[in-house]
Order: sequence, then C-alpha cells, then structure tokens
Amino acid sequence: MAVQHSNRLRNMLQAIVQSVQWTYSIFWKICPREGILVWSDGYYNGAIKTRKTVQPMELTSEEASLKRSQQLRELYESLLAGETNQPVRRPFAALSPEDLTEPEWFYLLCFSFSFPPGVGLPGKAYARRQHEWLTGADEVDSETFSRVILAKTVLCIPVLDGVFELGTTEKVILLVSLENENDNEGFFFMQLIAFQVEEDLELVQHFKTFFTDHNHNPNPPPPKPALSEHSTSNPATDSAEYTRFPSPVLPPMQAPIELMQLETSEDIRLASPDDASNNLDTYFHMILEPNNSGRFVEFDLECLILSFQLGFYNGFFFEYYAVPESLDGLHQEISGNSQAVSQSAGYPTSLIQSAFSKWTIDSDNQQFQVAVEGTSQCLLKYILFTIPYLHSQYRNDNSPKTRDTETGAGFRWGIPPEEHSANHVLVERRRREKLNERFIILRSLVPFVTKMDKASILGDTIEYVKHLRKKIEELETQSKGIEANNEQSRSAYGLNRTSSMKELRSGIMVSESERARSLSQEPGRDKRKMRKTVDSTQHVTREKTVEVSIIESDALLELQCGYREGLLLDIMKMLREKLRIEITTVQSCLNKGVFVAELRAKVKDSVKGKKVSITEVKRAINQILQSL
Amino acid sequence: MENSSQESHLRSDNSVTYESPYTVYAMAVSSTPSPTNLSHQSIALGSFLEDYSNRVDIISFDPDTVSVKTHPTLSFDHPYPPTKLMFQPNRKSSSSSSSSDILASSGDYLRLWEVRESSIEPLSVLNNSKTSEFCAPLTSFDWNDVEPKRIGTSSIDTTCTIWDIEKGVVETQLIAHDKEVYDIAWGEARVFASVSADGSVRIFDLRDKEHSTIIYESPQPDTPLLRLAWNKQDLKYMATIQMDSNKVVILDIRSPTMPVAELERHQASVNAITWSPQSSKHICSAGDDTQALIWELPTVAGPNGIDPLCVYSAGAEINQLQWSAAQPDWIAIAFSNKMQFLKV
Repeated sequence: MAVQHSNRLRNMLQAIVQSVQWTYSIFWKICPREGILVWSDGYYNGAIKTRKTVQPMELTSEEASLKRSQQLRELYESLLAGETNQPVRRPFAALSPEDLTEPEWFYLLCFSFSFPPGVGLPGKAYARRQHEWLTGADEVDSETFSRVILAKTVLCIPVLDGVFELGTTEKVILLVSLENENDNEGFFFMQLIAFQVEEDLELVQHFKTFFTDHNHNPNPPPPKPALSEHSTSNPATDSAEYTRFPSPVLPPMQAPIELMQLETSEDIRLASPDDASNNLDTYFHMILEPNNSGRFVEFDLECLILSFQLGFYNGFFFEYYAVPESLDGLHQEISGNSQAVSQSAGYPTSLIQSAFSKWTIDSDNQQFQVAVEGTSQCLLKYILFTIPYLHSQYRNDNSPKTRDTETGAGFRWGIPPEEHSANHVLVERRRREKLNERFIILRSLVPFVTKMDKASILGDTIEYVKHLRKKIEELETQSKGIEANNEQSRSAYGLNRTSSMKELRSGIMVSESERARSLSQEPGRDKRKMRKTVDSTQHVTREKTVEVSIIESDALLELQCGYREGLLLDIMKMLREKLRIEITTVQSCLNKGVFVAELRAKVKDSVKGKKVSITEVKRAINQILQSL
Repeated sequence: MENSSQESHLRSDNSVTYESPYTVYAMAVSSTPSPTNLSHQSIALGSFLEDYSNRVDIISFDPDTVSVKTHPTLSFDHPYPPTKLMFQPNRKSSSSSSSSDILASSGDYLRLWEVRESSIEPLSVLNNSKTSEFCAPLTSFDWNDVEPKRIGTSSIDTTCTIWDIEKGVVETQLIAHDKEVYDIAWGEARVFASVSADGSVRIFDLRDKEHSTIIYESPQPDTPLLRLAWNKQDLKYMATIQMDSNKVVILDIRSPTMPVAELERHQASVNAITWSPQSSKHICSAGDDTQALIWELPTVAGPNGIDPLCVYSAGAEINQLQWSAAQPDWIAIAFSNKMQFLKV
C-alpha cells in the first residue's frame, strides 16, 4: 500500500510538473510526530547536465527523469551519510556532485529541509490552508523563501496531509487559482492556470491536478461525463490513470453565472474560447488576446469568486483571470477569495439557470410577432405628456381661485422669492418670450419673409417699409398727374384706388396709425400727405363720406360732400349745441364743388355724464348733409 | 387585494410573475431588506389607471424560493398614476430604525412615505410653492445615492428642482431646458444630467449653476429624449432613448455630441433602460417589441453594430425595467398588469 501510494504520488508529481513544464515538484508531508513538514517525495523536471545510467538502453524521457530524480535522491542520501560516516564508496552509476546543474542542486537541497507550520513558504501554505504563490523568489529575502537558488516562481498548495510545492526557474504570473474542496469525497480539486509573461507572449499553460485522499479507494470515481471525452495532448494523461482532467467537482450545471466586473486597462478584448460547452454558455465571451505590450486585463477581485466561465481550451477546463505583475498583495486576495468560493459554492441561486436566452442572429427576425396596436411607447408617453397636465387640470378645476392660465398649460409656476437668480432668469425668459412673440407677429405682417430668423425678419421688414414708402410716393405723383386729366383717368383712378387699396393694406394701417397720432395733435407732413391723398383720390366723386373717430374725449371728423353755403357753420353749430362737441381745429377746402373738411374736437360729457357716441355724431352730421 | 400569497403569481425556477389587478407602470425595488423579513426584498408597484384614483402597492420578493408575497396593508392611494417610484438608496441601518424603509413617489408633488412592517405612513409632501401658486407636476426624479438627503426632480415647467429632504426645503431650482424636462439622473453628489423635449442631454453641476454642458442632441431637432440612465459603475457613460426610436444611445461624457454606441436591435420603440448595478459594461433595455435585451458593451464594436448578449420575450410590451443593486441576479420587468422577476 505504501509503495503503491508512493508510486502514485510520484507519478502524480511527475504528471503535474510535466504538464506545465515547470522545474520540480515536491510533496511535503506533515510528520505527525513532530508536526512539521518534511520531504516526502519529489520529482525533478529541470535541466540536467550529465546523465549517468547503468542501463544501456534508451529510456523514455519520463523514465529518464524519474531515474534522475531517484539518482538525485540517492546522491543526497549518500552525501548525508557521508557527513556522519566516512566517505562511502559510491556506486559507479551514481551521480556525483559535479554532475549536477544548479537547479538540481537546489532540488537536492530541498531534501534536507523541513518546515514547521507557518515557517517558510510550504509552512505558511499549510498553516493558512491556502495556496501560496511566490514569484520572483530569487528577489525575495530569505525569510520568505530561504531556499532561494534559482527557482523564480514557487507555488505551494496545501492538501490534506501536506503541502504540494511546485517551482520553476522561469518567472510566471499566476492567473487563476481556484480551489474547491468537496469534503465528502475527500477530493482536493484544484485548477491552476498560469500565463507566462515573456517577450514572446506565450499564452495559456495550465494544468490541473487533483489529489485523492490516500486512504480512499485508489480507484477514483469516474469522471463526470460532460467533458472528459475531450482528448488532451498533454503527456500527463498518458501517465497515471487517475490523473484525470476536467472532471469538475462542481455539478455540471456550472459555476455561478453572474456578472463579472471588468475594467480594461489596455485595449484588450475578452471573448469566449471557441468551443465552449453548451452547458456553460453564459453571456460572457472572453478571449484573451494580449496586445503587444503584454499586459493583461485587471479584474476586480471582489467579483472574481462570484463569476467565472468554464470553457474549453485545448481540451482542458480552465478558468482565467488576469492579475497584474505585482502579486504579493493580490495573491493573498486570490487565496482569500478562492476560499470563499469553496465555502459558497453551494449557494442555491447560483444553480438556477438564467431566464434569458442567448441572443442569436435569428432572434432578430423571428421574435416580434406581436402587433403594436397602440402608438409606440404609449404608456411612457402618457406618463410624460398627459399625466402632468391632468394634474394641472385637476388643480384648476378644484382650486378656489380662478387665475388666468396660459392656454393649454393651466398652471403657474411658484417662484421662490429667495431665489434671486432663478427669479431673474425667469424674468429674462419672459422678456425673451415677448420679443419672440412680437417677431412672429411682424413676420406675419410682412409678406415676403424668406427665412425665419430674427435678423431676416427685421431685414425683410425694412425692405417692405421702404417699398411701401416708394409706392406711396409713386401713387402721389400719379395722382397729381391725374388731376390734370380728369376724364381719361377716372376709371384708371378707380382701378388705381382699388389696387392701391389692396396693395396698401398696410398703408391704410399706416394711415390709421397716423390718424391716431394725429389725434394727439402731432404736427407733421404725414397729415398733409394724407390729406393730399384723400384729396386726390376722392376729389372726383361726389359721394358723401363721413368718418368719425372718437378716442376718449378726442374726436376726429372727416367730411366730404357736395358743397353748399353755410354747411360748415351748420355742422359746427350742431356739434356744439346738440352733441357737446367743442371743435378745436378745422381744416377744410373746397375743390370743384366738393367740400372736404377735417375737424378735431373735444367731446364733453353730456348732462347725464355720458359721452356722445360715434354713431350719434355720424347720424347727426348725415342729417345735416341730407338737408341739402 | 385579497390575493393570497400563493395565488397571485406564477413561478418557475428562474422567474416569478406577479399579476396585479391593474396595469403597472412605476416600479421600484428596495435596496434594503424588507421590514417584514430580512431575506426578502420589497417592491413598490404603481398602478396605471387613466383615472384620478390610483394605487401604489408593496409586495415582497424572496430570491431563495423565487416567490412573491403580497401585503394588503402596505398600500396607499395616489392621485393619477405615479410617474416614478424609488426607495431610499443604500440606507445604513444606523441612521434610522431598521424596521422601516422610505419610498418616494412623484406625480403632482414629490411625496415621501415610510414603509413600515404593516402600514405605510406619509412622511411629507414636498411642494415648492411659497405662495398659493402651484408647483408644476413632475415627470421624474432621482435619489442621489452618494448624498441620500438629496433628490432631484424634473418637471414640465422646464425646471429641475433639487430638494434637501431632511430639512424639507428646496436646495435650488434650475431652469434646465427650453422645454419640458422628462428625466433626471444623478452622477455624483453634485452632478446631475437631464433630458428634455428639446432633444438635448445636459449635465449640471451644483457648484456652477449658471452653466450646463450639452453632451448630446437628438439628430432630428426637437425630437424629445424620454429617458436617461447614468452608469453608476463607470460615470463616463450614460444611456438615453428617443421618442419613437428603437435605438439605445450610449454616450460618453468626455466626447460630447457623438454617441459612443447606438444599440439598435429592438424591433420597436424602447421604453426603459437600466445599467447593471455591478458591471460597468452591461446594460439592459426593454421595449414595445416585448423583448428585454441585455447588452455587453465591447471596447471595439463589430462592423454590424453591437449585438445583445441575451434576450427575454415577455407576453406584452415591456414598460418598465429595474435592475436593483440589492439583487443583482434579478431583473424586474413590468408589462401590462404583470410584474416579473427574471434571473439574469
């Protein structure tokens, strides 16, 4: 049993170290009597200087290495014996010290070492029940790693009754360490992935081991079905029958599929390995493509445990994470986290499969068969557009005060008086709104506006006003010319007048405003112009026109009628006596029998306190005119 | 609401459905354990009835047994449908009694409610009007999780109001946009962003109230942007959706006006977006095409655009989406009168 066991152990060590091409592997066993870790077995896989064998035949490389390890062991023992005893004659085929390379010396030295728990790397690993990883062992002080010779990277993993140590003369960066202990079966299941970071940027090397409990059935349970069919190219599988690969202790339902938090430090994409097992589809895709600078993605270690993806790569299970080169703090975290994983691996929600299904290109086309009956986003739009106004309406309906509300909006803002800046801004906004409004009105008045911006509106209005003025001048000159020629231009005039009425729609507005201005007694050429216009356009016809405007107490009367003697006097008398209109200004002229007059007056209150109305004045004047 | 705990939901292994008596729109998942049972999560559901009287109900979700339970006493009236509901973020139990949670609702005013074990008490009504003039109705609000006494509200009067809810006063009121503001989201303690009917996304810093930064404007002018979500794990990124658009626009605040990505795989308009509470690269969107899509944002996009990671099809247009930090494994969606918790 012991022999079998040691053979198995030896083979296992061999398999492990060969699978990652590391230099040596040693199993430190805890000696129950003394409670320290002593050298139990080891396998040397490193450089060999000279080979000495007794057998002439060619050995396979494994056998040769195995032999070598044995030879080293023998040498050690002989040296040891040699210290105490006289020099013993060594067997011919034994190695002598000068045959060894330095790594071999290192390996040799290890035979003599022992570690109490907590001391040295293996001791620490054992004591903490966590794996210890040391990179740059040659740079580390002797306290941490006293056997510094050439091993640059050392890894110690505690197992049930000892520590398993792996070392290499190359600098390696640990990428993953995940352990899962399944106590029931006594398996110690470990997966390691190591990335070598050299200039050549070699990718994944990984290995996996598991140890069986020595006391258990030597035949390991059959591997879980899902993945063991995959053949491996690793020589280690050829060896020990029990070093099987990817049989996850975890149920094939996979590791908790949760989110991983990623933070890319470089332009590296993560996507999935090419043939991920069907069960392991998650929505992560991670492919590691190191960029030229050879740096890796940083992960938030907090989330490491909670999420990882299992996939295939060259037939091996692996999980991958990356940590930056400075490991000392990190590997502690990793080990801490991995323990947490081993503790929490059983939590139930992790086993529930996602309700979401993976996106495929097909799902683009076939899914949407539901006809959208309403408008799109109808709930969202109702929430944003309609509900606020419902609130306002409700308030307005139920509020005791009725305020003038803006059309459509029905609410007013409350302006906190303390917020001066907000107040000012609101006032400013209102001013801007007023301006905008007026610009819009102006635009609607001017016929030929092309663009809608304020500068164009003003420019177009200027053009329009100029145009109108020109038109007015032309018409005036025209009318002068026509005065000389009554007969011919009568019809033309009518036409002119109507056309001018149409074109000069705003001209009339202008004249109305002028009239309003003239009510306030502004002197100016405008009045004269207007009168002239009135004269020229109306002088031929004999029709009566009476225009009365009353604004508050100012009145403007414009008459045109056929002339009779004393007409003006009658009108003025009537206005004063009957209507209490006190005339202040009269302008009149008589032109070929047509009497045109413009009277300004002040309207006084009647006895009852009311002022006379426009219609009354008009009626009165018409009466007089009719009595011609 | 006499539904027993067993009847009103369907459950399977990876999802649970709660069927409400009315259409549901507003939804909030509590960030602290339910006062009734520490392993449960409280969810507030706001009804959507085109009527004055609406209701908000609280139910609790048990992630271990994947089931929901109703609490008929935990319910209150609300005038018109609440436009948004939100629980207090990251409440430390030392600050107040651990048996109650605070829920905020927006509609006509911002209201705070205390959710106790067997009842809900109104805490305060935050009304900005100093005189009898009214405060404008609110379209949305956001509770600052770095500074939990701060809530920002957005309103149709084009302003955003920042409240100090401990004192119950307005910290400041800013005119955020030229038109109605539809959504607001906090970035840091003093920085928020808002979207509006004028089609712009603007960032405001409370230390400099005079100026805002426009980081995006919708390509067709004046097309309203309806919703905004700020990535709390990576504050560089925001997402927004446009009216009647099936695209989710991802923005990087360092490069304004140009979206970093446009996720265009929905077959109808998008209704809701939410970033993952744990991963900075994942976002979930749901729309009228009845689908909820989870996307992972790559550093480099492929030539055909970005495809989602996975998809879920509900039975009707999905109107609401919540991905709570307290339950990062579960996404809550609301469609027609149902609310579902889905395992991610």
